[in-house]
Amino acid sequence: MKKYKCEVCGYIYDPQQGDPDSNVAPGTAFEDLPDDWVCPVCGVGKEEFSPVAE
Amino acid sequence: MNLDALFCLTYGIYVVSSRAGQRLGGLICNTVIQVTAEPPRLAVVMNRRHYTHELAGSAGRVSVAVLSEDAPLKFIGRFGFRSGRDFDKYADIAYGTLPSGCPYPRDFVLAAFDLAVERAVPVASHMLFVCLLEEALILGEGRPMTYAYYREVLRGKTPPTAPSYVSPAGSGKEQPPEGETGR
Repeated sequence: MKKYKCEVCGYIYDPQQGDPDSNVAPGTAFEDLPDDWVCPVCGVGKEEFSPVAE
Repeated sequence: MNLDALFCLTYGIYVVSSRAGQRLGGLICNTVIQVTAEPPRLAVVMNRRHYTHELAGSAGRVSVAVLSEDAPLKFIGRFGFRSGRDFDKYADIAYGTLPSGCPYPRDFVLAAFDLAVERAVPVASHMLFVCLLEEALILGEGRPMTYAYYREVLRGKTPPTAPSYVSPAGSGKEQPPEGETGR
């Protein structure tokens, strides 16, 4: 599963870790995050994220 | 001690910027207040780890831009959360320059102040800049963004280096003045 980076603040969403503070379980792919999920660091929406080149 | 009492304090949301030579920097700040009227002085507080703090210390000049409520989270996020040491916050955006040379963003800004640092007072993790007002501009019409609006309407976040940050543990313990590079 791909990591995604917030282009506003630089936070990286790692699917292996999920986002426990927002009740996103480890193993959740970025594509499967709810539409109203926001960056846990700066608060922008999913549309501000880009896949991280491996 | 109930630290929630601190949330009863009200603030605005500002972009504080400085310039040293060709290096420009800016950050999001809630701690800007007018402290005297004649002559007008403003106090600006920022974390000592910030790149803008480094620029302000060497230039002795800062600018303050008052954000309007229509500033999107993406615009605010550009100036917050990341360090100007790693990312040029003034690249690719429209900005104006005050007589001191300090920049201010042109978009989503209602007013700008050009300030000369009169006194810099270290306060543990933060620096209190007491500044003389040298220039003041009205740049737009609208409602100034408040910290409450940022938090409650935009659902904006607060980074650990902000004076208003309360850690999830809520210890209220003092942050060290120096340490690893801030965001």
